[in-house]
Amino acid sequence: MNALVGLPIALPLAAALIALLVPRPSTPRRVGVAAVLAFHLGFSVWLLEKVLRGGPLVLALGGWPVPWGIVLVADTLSAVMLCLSSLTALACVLYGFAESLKEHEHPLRVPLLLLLVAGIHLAFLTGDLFTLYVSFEVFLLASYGLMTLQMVATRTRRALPYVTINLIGSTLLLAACAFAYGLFGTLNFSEIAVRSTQMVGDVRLDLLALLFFLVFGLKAGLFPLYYWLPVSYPALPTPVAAFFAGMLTKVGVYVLIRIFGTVLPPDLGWLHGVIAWVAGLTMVIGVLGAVGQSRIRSILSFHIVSQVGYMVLAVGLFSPFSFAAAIFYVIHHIVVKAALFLAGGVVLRIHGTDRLDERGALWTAAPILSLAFLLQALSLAGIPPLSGFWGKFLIIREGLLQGQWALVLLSLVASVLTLVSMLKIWFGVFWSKQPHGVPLRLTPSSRRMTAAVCMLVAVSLGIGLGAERVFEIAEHAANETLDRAAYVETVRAVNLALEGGARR
Amino acid sequence: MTAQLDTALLVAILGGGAIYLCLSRRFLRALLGFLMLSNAGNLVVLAMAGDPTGLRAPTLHGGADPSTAVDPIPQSLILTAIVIGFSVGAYLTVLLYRIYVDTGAATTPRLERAGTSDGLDDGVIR
Repeated sequence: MNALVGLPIALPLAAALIALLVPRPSTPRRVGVAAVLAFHLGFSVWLLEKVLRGGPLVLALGGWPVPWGIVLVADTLSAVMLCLSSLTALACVLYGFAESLKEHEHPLRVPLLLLLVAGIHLAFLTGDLFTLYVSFEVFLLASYGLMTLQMVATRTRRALPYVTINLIGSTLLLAACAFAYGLFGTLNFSEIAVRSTQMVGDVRLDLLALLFFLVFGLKAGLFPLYYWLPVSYPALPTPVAAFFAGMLTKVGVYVLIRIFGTVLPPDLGWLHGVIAWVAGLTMVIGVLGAVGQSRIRSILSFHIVSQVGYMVLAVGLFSPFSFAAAIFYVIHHIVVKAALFLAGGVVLRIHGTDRLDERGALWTAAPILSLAFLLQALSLAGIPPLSGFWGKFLIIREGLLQGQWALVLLSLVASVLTLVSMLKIWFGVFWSKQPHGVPLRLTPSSRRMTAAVCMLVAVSLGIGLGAERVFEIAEHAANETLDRAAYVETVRAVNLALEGGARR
Repeated sequence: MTAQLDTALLVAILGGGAIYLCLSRRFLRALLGFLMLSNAGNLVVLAMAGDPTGLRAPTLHGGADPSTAVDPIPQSLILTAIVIGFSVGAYLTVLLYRIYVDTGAATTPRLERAGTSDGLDDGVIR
């Protein structure tokens, strides 16, 4: 039973290798990939259900006992992230199939995307610091490949900031792993949790925590190290961009939740305040960047920066409720952001550009797409009863309860500016008159693309309307993440199971 | 872990040189800087095994006493890190070369001047 925890890594990996054996994109290959991802989504939901009822599942790889071997831990937070990742991957792959004909699809895109998914899933499941580093490298290498796969000559340089900043980040992460090993003598999350508790107040622990915040803040796109994100993301092909926008920075947020919630002790003094303020600045700077842009993709990319600020602010507020709010926000954001990028891609396909000032009047030609975009845009800005409202409401409530007036004010300002720039897209592309009188081309393929967008929009509406149930899950995940003693006990229990197995 | 001032100094020199090179305008120097940086990172990992003076290689041949060997874990970690660093370095080399081929620029100021359009409308499927 516990061996199934390895499936979210093994399945995409195997699918990627098999897809590589089929040299050219064909209908059977497309059907197979979609079926694997759909099965994976079903499996993730089943796993979440199981973990919610029966507690976390632990798998000791190779049968090595805990402090020595590598463990995979599937708790509620991991299972939630797996569900989101497989949902986003499925929607993006289906969108990609609708967008380009088999003959135009690059044969390596789907295998690389599957490798990316496998790496991300390893990051969600691992209970070990060095495996976390390896998983980051696996999915970063896949993402470098995807980034430059179909880039035209005028855009290749846009990949450079992404690659270099991640190279620096990876080196720092490696150094952080080394320092953690030097400090604790172990790389296992649960053992670090035990040993770091005895080191509270040691300045080396604080510095290590600061280094972790720097590394994963960089991967999440926090101020002041966010420049790479709005440069590189708009240059990607739409389905890839949507997956990156939904998942990649959120892996950084997930690791921040995991490291600061479970691995490091809760009393780190001033550090949580630093996290909250960096996040507050990120919210405002990101949204100010978005206001100045005139392309859908660029505006949405800056919004990722701003939204990551909200999630990390909730991590910095550091209470069980704020962690639940952060997890709820992650759930909301991944779905909405991927849907918005895909919707922007349909606009790009219909208009041939996504500049706001060149075309308009999409509302009459594509009402369903327009409605889908409007719903997601309002959700991003936080209009009730859409999912974004609940995410922001929960974070602001916790901020007010803790008396962080300045941070609450910053997040409200960011929220208003988000609404302004989303309405700018709405009026520029969907509502205004068609300036040149060029007839709009709605092809069957853009209808199928819209269907993939609607799949995500439906999930997002479900999150907004069923917010109470989603928040219950988020609260459960947050309590589990912050309960370090229970985490250590769960992971150590795997040794007993191993001994029992050996005796038999 | 005993103090290893020599290793720390070496990491500082490698890391400092790497940052100096990374900030250079020329692609080639920046590339060398990134390669140096990953080596500085690897050295940090190796240093965590402690002072190896008087210790054997960590092979348990013929029932040797494990307490006389160096810590094997940083060695296994550094092996992984070297492979990863090498592959990312190879990717960065190809990317910089490709940018040179595409734009004719081998320095950042020339890259700034290489194109006026942001390139986002090029290659869009219409």
